[in-house]
Amino acid sequence: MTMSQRKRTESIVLAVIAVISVTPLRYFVESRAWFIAEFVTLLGMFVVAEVGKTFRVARPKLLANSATGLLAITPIVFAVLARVFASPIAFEMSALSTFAAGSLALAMGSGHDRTRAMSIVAGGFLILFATSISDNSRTVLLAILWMAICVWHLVTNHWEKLELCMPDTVRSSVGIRPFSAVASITLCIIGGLVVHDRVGESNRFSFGIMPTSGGSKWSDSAARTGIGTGDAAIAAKDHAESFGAVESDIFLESTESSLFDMFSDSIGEPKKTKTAARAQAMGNENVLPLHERAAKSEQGGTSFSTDRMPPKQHTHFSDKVEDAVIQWDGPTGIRLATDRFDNFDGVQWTNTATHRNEKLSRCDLDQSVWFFDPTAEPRALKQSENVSVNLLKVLRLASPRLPVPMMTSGLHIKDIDRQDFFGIEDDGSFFMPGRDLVPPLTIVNVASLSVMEDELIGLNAQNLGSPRPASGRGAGAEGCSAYEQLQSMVSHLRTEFTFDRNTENSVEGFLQTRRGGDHLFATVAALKAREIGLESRLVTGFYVRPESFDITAGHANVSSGDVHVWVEIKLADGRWFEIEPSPGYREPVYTPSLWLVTKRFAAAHWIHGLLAIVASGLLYSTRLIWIEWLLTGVWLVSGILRPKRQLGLAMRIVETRARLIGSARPTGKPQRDWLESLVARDVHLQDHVKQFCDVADQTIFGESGSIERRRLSTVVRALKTKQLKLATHKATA
Amino acid sequence: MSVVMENKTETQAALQTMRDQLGRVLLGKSAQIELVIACLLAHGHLLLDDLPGTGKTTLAKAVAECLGGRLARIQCTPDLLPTDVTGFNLFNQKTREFEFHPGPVFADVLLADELNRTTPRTQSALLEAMAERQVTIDAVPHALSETFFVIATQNPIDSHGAYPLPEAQLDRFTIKLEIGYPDRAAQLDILENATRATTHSELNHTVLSLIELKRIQRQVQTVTVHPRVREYLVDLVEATRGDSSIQLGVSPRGMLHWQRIAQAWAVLQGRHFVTPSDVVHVARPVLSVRLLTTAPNVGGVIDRIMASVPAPEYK
Repeated sequence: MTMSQRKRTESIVLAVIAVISVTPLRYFVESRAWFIAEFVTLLGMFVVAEVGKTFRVARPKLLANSATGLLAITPIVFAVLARVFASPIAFEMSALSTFAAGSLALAMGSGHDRTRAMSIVAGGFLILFATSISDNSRTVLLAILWMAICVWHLVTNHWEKLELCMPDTVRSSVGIRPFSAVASITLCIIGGLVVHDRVGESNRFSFGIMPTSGGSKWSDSAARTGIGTGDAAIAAKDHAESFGAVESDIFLESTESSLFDMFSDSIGEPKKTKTAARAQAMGNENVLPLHERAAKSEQGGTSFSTDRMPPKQHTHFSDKVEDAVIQWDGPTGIRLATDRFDNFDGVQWTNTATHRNEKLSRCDLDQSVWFFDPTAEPRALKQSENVSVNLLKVLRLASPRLPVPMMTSGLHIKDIDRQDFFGIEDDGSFFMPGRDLVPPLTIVNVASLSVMEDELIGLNAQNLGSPRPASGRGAGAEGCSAYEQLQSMVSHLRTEFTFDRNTENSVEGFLQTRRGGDHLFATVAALKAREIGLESRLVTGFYVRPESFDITAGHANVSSGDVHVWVEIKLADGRWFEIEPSPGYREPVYTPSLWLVTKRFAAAHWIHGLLAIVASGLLYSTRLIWIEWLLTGVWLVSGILRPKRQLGLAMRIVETRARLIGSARPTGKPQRDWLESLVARDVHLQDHVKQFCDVADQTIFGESGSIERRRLSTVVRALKTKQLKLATHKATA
Repeated sequence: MSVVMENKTETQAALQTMRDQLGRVLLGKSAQIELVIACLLAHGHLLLDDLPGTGKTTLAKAVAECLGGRLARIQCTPDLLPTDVTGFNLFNQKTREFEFHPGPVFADVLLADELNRTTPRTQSALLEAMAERQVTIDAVPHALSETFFVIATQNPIDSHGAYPLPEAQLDRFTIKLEIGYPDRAAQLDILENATRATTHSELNHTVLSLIELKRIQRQVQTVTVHPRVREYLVDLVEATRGDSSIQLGVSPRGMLHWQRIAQAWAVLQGRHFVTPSDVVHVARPVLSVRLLTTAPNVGGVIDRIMASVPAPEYK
């Protein structure tokens, strides 16, 4: 391959990576069919432009050029086409794709270094941009790959001479190209690790919930753009169906007043529905459609009549039948706790703890007012990367307690800055003091801490004076840590017992029949945990079933049937983490840190690792031997090749051997000269090599006669690694 | 076939004799002698770049003697005129006609000593002679000897009053050689030979007639150059043009010279085709005469270029 061909190939590879980097940005958000069509077209043009030259076609240059040109404008064509066929592609995405395609076309069509450089710069910009806006952390790998190839490309183009200028004595066996590519990747990774965790995390834009009384199943896209702010008035102005702070009876869908209605001073008390409706102006564009919906105009001959139609029944009334108690915008398969009990008298669980605190600490974050559990606040603010904020919408919960995930540290309701709204009950659950129930349609932002598995590993079992005090720290006998015992206990419950709510069982009965409801699972688990020496408590609340997630609405519906009982265990620092003893419910996820995973992997596989290291060490140290075997094997089966191929293979084998012992043939040295210089000191070999070279020259460059396999075999056998080593040793000595 | 073989052996025998004969004159310089013969067979011209007293003139004389041709010699000085080289028309009072008096270029072997000491004007007079093998005097072209062979020397130390040879002139030389000092053994032999009685007669016989030489030169011209070797040559030439430390790369004419002398080298090795090794062997003398480098070390630049272009492999 000549140098310019190599440059071209490399810059095309770089541009292709740039094109690929656009894919993840577009694939998941656009119409698949259009996207795939566009990329298939790009690929087709690429193939036509590249392969067209190799086949005999009339005017191959014209074909290649027009394919390249088409390739450059494909994204634009598709942007227009998709828009025409009502499946528009975002302008930014089209622009990015055009950029990528342009870079590829430049790389393919250019014959100059400058245009190639332009293509590389464009591709580099694209990669950088795509990496920085992508959500997926793996895109970095693409960038690293691009960079490695780019460094390789640049080094070959600009540093080649450096390598050639180096005297033979200091020339390393590793070329300057691989070395600099590896060095730059290493630098890049080190740099990434250094700035890792020091730059702010990007926040994902998420859809919230509109406090609409319309129910949970149906949601108006415009209403949802209100994003759970409670500020429904804006949405209501344009969309009569949505519920908001509008007292007009026409627009109101629900008789229930929202939290916004109750505490917005500007509106005051909700007006009685009997009083005259106060209308709020609608947007112009909505007047006619709404009129059409509310009235019926008819024209017959000379008369014109408009009849107001009777108000329609709520079309999505079914929601009221489906008893969603709360809605949850956040991860599913988790538990939302409302009550906790820490004392079991053999029949009943009661609460004895006194965590009551009605003075939560206020904290202003990003112009919104949060109320934090004072004990959890410092940790939440310090480890903000471990805090996840989710939305809870209470629809009809007959309790002042707020169902929130474990380790919830803070709450926030839009526009609410009154401290007396939130409190912590004796048992440690969040609640709204002074109320019979949480006002319906309240939307609460819930900040909860996640906990790494590493913290649980160091779980300390205290001697709680349980019936069997002997099971102290770590329950010695088995030498297992408290956490491991807990895990085995939970998995025992989850695998050996059957979940069945319909059997009314006592704990004893449960243990005998191995069948019972989740409260029995939880009770047994809590008591067992105490046996291990851990402080435990029973928790009741809701389980967010994964299948209850409504993708269109963007939240999960939790109904009264999702009531669930489980267990929490206390950590040394006073926090409680949950365990899930009941089968059929997802276990809480405690992600192990990379370090922990590594340790575990190492613990499980150290013997393999050791063997692998020893094996690879052995392989490396004996590489001359087994590669020699391999080469001999290759030579043995090469008899089926044509004589010229055999000659090429024989030379390749000899050169591979020479490279292995670190005296590879310099590129510019003809093979004959090189071979002769190798065996310069060995009279016997010299004759062989000379004859071989004469015949080889005659065959290849004289184009007459053919070389016998016998002669080739002689050389392949004579120039074994050992002999080469000896020869080079002599030559240097 | 047998004729070819016969020709071949005949040629090799003649060439071997020539090698021996020149080797007896110029002791311990077999590599240089080989290149000189190659240059002669390639129908080229030779530039010797060396210190005084290293045997340049001796070599030229020996070459001329081997060919049995005429040797002419010009000692280039600043006041040498073009007509002194090419010859001139003189008006003969008796015959009332112009008579042509041929200059030294009408020899078979022309030794131009210290070519860079003469003026560019005189240097240029050699241009046509070297390239076209003819001189034009008063619009009348005169053909030179068909085996016209120029051996020019230039003196590297002597920079006083030296006119560096122009590129156009340099490009007409096929190769540049540095004979250099002989090694110790050779020097001892030289001393020993000098004490012997002169036995010039043993040297003084023709080993290669001019007709024979012409035949071999034609044979050289038809030596096979494999397309891949040609590509290699082009790659090398392009590499010299693209290199940053070279001001002037190899011209197409230089490339032709290169191919021809590689062919001659192949004939010297008894082959009828050119191998990449032949191209590499003659690369340094061919390139050193015509590369204009910014770096002081031309040899290093040549080595680098030769190392950077991959040679054709057996496949």
